[in-house]
Amino acid sequence: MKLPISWLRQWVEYDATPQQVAEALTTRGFYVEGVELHGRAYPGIVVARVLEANKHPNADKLKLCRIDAGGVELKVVCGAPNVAAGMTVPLATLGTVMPNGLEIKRAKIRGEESEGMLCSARELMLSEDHSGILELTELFAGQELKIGSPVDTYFPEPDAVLEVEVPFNRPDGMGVLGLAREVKAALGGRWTVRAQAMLAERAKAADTFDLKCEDAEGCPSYFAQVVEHVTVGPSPSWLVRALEAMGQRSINNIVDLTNLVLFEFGQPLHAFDLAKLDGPAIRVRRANAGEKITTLDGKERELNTEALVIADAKKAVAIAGVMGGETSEVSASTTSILLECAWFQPARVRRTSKALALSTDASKRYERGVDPAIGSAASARFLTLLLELCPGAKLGASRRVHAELEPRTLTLRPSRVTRLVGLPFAIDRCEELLRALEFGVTREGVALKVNVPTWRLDCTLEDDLVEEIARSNGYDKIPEAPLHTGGAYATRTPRERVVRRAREAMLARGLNEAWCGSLVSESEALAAAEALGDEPKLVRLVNPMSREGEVLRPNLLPGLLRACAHNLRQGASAVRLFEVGAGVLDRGGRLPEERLMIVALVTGQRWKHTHDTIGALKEGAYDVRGAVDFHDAKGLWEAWLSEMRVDSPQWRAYAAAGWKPGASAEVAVGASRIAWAGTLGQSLLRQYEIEVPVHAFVALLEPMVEAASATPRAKVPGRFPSVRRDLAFFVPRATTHARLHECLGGAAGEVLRSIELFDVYEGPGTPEGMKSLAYALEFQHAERTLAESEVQEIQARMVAAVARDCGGQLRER
Amino acid sequence: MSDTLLAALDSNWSAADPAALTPDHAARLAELEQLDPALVALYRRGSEVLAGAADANALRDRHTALLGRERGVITLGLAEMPKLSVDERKVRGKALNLVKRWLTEVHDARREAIALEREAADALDVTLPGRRGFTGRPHVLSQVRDDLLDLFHGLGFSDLHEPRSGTRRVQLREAQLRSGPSGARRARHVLRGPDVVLRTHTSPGWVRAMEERKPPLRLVFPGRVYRAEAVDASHMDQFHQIDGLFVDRNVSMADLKATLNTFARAIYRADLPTRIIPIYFPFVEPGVQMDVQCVTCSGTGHIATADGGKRCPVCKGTKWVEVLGAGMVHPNVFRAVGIDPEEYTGFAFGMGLERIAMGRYGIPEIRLFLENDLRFLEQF
Repeated sequence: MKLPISWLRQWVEYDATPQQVAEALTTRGFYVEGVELHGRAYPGIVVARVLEANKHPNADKLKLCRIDAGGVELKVVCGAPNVAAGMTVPLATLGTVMPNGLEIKRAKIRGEESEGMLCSARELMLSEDHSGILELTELFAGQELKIGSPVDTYFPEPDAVLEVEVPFNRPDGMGVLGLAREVKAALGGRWTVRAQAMLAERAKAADTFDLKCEDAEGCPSYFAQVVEHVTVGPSPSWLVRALEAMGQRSINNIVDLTNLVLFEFGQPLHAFDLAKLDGPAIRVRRANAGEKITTLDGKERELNTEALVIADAKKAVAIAGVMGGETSEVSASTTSILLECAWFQPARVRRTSKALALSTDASKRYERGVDPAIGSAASARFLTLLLELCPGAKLGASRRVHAELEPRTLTLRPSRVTRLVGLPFAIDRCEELLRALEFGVTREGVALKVNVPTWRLDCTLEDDLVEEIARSNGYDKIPEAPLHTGGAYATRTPRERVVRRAREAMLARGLNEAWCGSLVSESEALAAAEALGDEPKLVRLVNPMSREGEVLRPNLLPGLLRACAHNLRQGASAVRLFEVGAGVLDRGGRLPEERLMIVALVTGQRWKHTHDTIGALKEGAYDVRGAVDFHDAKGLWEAWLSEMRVDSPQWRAYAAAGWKPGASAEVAVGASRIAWAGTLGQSLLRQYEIEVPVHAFVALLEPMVEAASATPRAKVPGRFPSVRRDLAFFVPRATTHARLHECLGGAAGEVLRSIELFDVYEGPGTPEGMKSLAYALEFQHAERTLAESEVQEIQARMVAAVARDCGGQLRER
Repeated sequence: MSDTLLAALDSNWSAADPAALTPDHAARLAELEQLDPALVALYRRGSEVLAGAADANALRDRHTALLGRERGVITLGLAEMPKLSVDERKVRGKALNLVKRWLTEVHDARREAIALEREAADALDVTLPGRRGFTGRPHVLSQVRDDLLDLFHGLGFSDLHEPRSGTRRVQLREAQLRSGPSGARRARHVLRGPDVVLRTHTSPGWVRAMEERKPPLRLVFPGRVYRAEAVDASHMDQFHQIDGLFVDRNVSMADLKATLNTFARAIYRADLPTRIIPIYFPFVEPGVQMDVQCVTCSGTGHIATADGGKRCPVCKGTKWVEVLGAGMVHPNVFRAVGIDPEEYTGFAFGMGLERIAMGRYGIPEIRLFLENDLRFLEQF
C-alpha cells in the first residue's frame, strides 16, 4: 500500500518528517519498505509553442512542425492529429529519457530531420489518453507558462510516498484513513478539519430503488444510489496525480473517483451504467450453477454456486467484491450511473477470488475485511466529489439494506499486560494508549472495559489488546530479562548425537558434506528404491512444481548422483560426497516412513595429490595414482563403521538392479541389515550421464541411534605377552575371506586376540583351482603366558578346521 | 724418530689445515716443540691428513694408520720406547699420549664434519607437496545449524525432531489454530501427496510437543520445510528452519527479547545493533520480528559506487535486515493443546538457516545451497 505524505496531511495534522513517519509506522508493525519521491519526474521536457504545423512532404499522416522552445527554433516531426499552430505543448528535447525508458535521439523521419518529440498524456504517464498531444494550458489551467522552462516547474512540489507493508490482520491499513489513524496515534497528531468533516458525512438513502439482498449471509449490507445526468470524461489533474501516486492510472472521472475512495477509505465502490441494468434493479444472490459472466477484463468466467453475484432483473452484472461485468461498464456514452457500496462476507469473496484465480484491489480488501461502518462516509465522499466534477448531475433513486452491527467489548487487565510484556503497565497508561487508537475505554475496578472500533476486526481477545498496548508503547522499551533456566537443562537427543558422529566420521574420511533436495523425478526415485531392494511405493506430490520434483526421495542416492554429475561436468577429477537425511517411502502406515540414513559416493583418484612417478607397474600392483576402486571405497566404509562402533559387521555379496554385478555387498549386524556398499551399475549412472565408476555406501542410522544409548563397560587390556604367528592357507578359489576368517576364528577360540589378512595370492605354486590367503594372528591369554605347546595345539585345530570346513590346507613354506 | 713413523703414512694422502677443526693447532705445535721436538713433524702431518680426508672411508684408513690399535703409528712409537733411556721414555711417553689424544680429537671433529656435509648433500626439497589425502568439509548449512543448536543447548533448549510430512488432519488442526484467513492463504503454498502434506514450517512441532509434554518446555525444532514455489535466485521449494519454544509460568516478552538478542550476539556480532518490531503471525500474540543492522551498508542504507553511491541492494535503503519471526504463544494455541493460558505463558521463534548463512557469508543465491558444487562447498 502506498501512502503519499500529501494525502496523509489532508487527514492528520502532525509535526514530523516523512522519514519520522516511516519510522513510526515501522515500529508499530506497518513495515515501511521504502520512501520514494514522486512528481517532477520529467527532466529534459520543456514547455514549447507550436509555431507552424505543416503536412510532412513525404507522409500523409505526419506533420512537420516548427517549434519555439524558448529562444531556440526546432524542427519536429509529429504524428498526432491534433497538433496545430499556437498550441502550448510538452517537448522532449534531445537526450531526454522518457518515463517508459525510451531515449529521444536526433532522427530523420521520412527524410525530414526531427529534433525532439511532442508528448501525449500517456507518454508522460499522466493518463491513458494517447489521442493527441497534451495541451499544457489545459493541464496547468490558471498558471502562466513560460516557453522554454521545464514542465516540472508547473507540477506541485515532489511528494514523498511511503511503501507500506500492511500486516495481514490489519485490512484497515489498506486505506489512507487507516494509516492516518496509526500516524495520528503514533505522533500525537489531530484530525484536520477536513478529515472531521469527511468522517462525519453520511450518504442518505431513500427506499426508492429496487434492491433485494437474497443472500443476507454473503451480503449483510448494500447501498445503491442512482446519479443522473453525469458526464463521463477525463479527470482533473489533481485526481490524475492523486491516483498516479498510488500507482493507478486514470481511466475516466467516474472510475477514478471510485478508486480514489477505495484508496482513501479502503472501501471498494462500483459504478454501473444504469442504462445497461435491466429493471433497473439489483439482486444480490448466489450464482446459479454454471452461470457465466464476462468481466471488465474481457474474459468470460464460469461461476460456482458459492460465488455471490450482483444481478439486475435478468442477469448477473458483477461478481460481488471481485470484478464488475463488461456489459454494465461505465463508458463515454453513460449518462446515469448506479453506485454500489457494499459489505461482503470475507470468506465468500476469498473463495470466489481463489476459484477464479482473480485478485483485484477490491477483492484484496473485501477478503481481509472492510470496516463495516465506513460505507456511508465513503459513499458520501464519492457523491460529493462527483457533484463537484459534474455540476449538472442529480441524485436519483436509492436504497440501503443494512444489518445492525454487534458492538464488540473486551475486558483488559493491566496485570495481564505487565505479565506478558515483562514491563509494568499502570491502568492509566493502558487507557491512554488504547484511547489514542480510538478504542472506547471505561474503568471497571482494576480492569478496563474496551469497546473495539468497527475497523479493528483483528481484536477479538484480551491478548490482542495487550499487543496494541505493547506496540503503541514501543517494543524498544521492553527490557531484556536476565536469562535463567529455571532448573531446566538441555539434552541432545540420541538421534542428534548419532547424526553428528556419523557426519564427523565421514568428514574424517575426506568426504564433503552435501545437502540435496528431497524432491526428485519418478524415474530417479524408482531406480534408487530398487537399488536398496525396496518395494517402490513412492510418495507422490499431487501439485509438484516440476517433473524433477514430483516424488519424495526414497533414499538419498538421487540427490548425490545429481551432485556428482554436476561436479564432473564442472571438471572435478574426484568427487567425494555424503549426505545425512531421511528417505521416504509409503509403507502403508498413517504417515510415510522416514528412514534416517547416511549415503556416500566416491569417484576419481585415490589421493588428492601425489607426485610419485608411475614407472612400470607390475600387473595387479597397487597404483597410488590410480582411481578409487571397490576395496579403496570399502576401506572408507569399514573405517566409518568402526568409528560408529558397529560391532563385527558382516559383509555379504548382494545383488540388485542399480549395482555393478559382482561388485556390491550388504552389511549385517546380527540378523539385521544396516548398510549397502558397492560399485554402481551402468544403467543407474547413465540416468545421470556419468561415465566413470562410482562407489556408493548407504547406511541406516536408526539402528545406531538405538545402539547409541548403550554405555560400554570398560575392559582392562591383557598384561601377559602375546604370541604372533603368520599362517597361509590354500583354499578353493570360491571360498571367501569371510568364510575362512570365520572358520579360523571359531577354531582358535578365546585366546585369539586379532586376525588380519595380509596377502592374497594366486599364481605359480598354487594348486589348480586354489588360491592362497595369508593371515597374521596374535594370541594372548588373559591370566597367564601362553606355552608354545598351547599355541601349537591351537594352530593344529585351525588347520584341521580349514581342511574340514573349507577344503583347504596349510601352505607350507 | 718422526721420520720412521712418518714413513708409515701414505705420502699421497691429501692434506688440509686442521686449524678449522682444532682452533688451538698452533699452540699444540708449540707445546710439542717444547716437550718432544721429534714428534712435531708426525703430529703436523697426522693432523693434516685427518683434516684432509675427503670422506668416511678415507678417514677410516687414515685413522687406522695413525691410531690403529695393532699397526697404528702411535702403537709403533710406543713399541720403540724400551730402546730409550728412562728419562727419554718419560718424555716420549707423555708426548705420544698427548699426540694420540690430539689426533683422536682431530679425527672425531673431521668425522662429525663429514657426516654434516653428507646430510647437507642429501637435503630434501621441503617445498615439494606432500602425498595428500582428501579433506572433507561440513556443509555450510550444517555449520550454521550446529552453531544454532550449540547456542540453544547452552540456553537450555533441547532439540526435537519431527517428521517432515504430516497428515491432513494435523495440518488442518494447525490451520484452525491460525485464526482467520491466513491458514487458507498459506494453503496455496503447501506441497502435498494424496494423503499427506509436507510441512511448510517447523512450527507443527510445537503443537505435538505441547500435547505430549508438560511445561516447563524449552525446545528447538530443526528441519526442512517445503513450499510450492518456483525456484529462482531467492526462492526455493525446500529450505530449512529452526523453531524454538519456551513455555513456563511468567514467561514474558522481556525473556523473549533477551533470548533473541543473545542469539544475535552469538551468531552475528556482539555489537551488531538489533531491533524488535511488531509483526503479524497467526499463532502468536503479540508478534515480533527481529531485524539486525544491515551488514552490507553498515546501517547507512547506501553503498559507495564509482558514480557516487546508490541505495543498498540488501536492505533496500531501510538499514535493517529481517532475521526471524517470534512472539508470545497465542492463547488459542495453548487452549487447543490443553494448557491453561492463565497459568502458563510462553514464546516461540522461528528462523531460516539459509537467510542466516546468506547474511553471514555473503552468499548471493539461495540455489547454491542444494547444488553441492564442490567449489562452493569447500569454501566454508
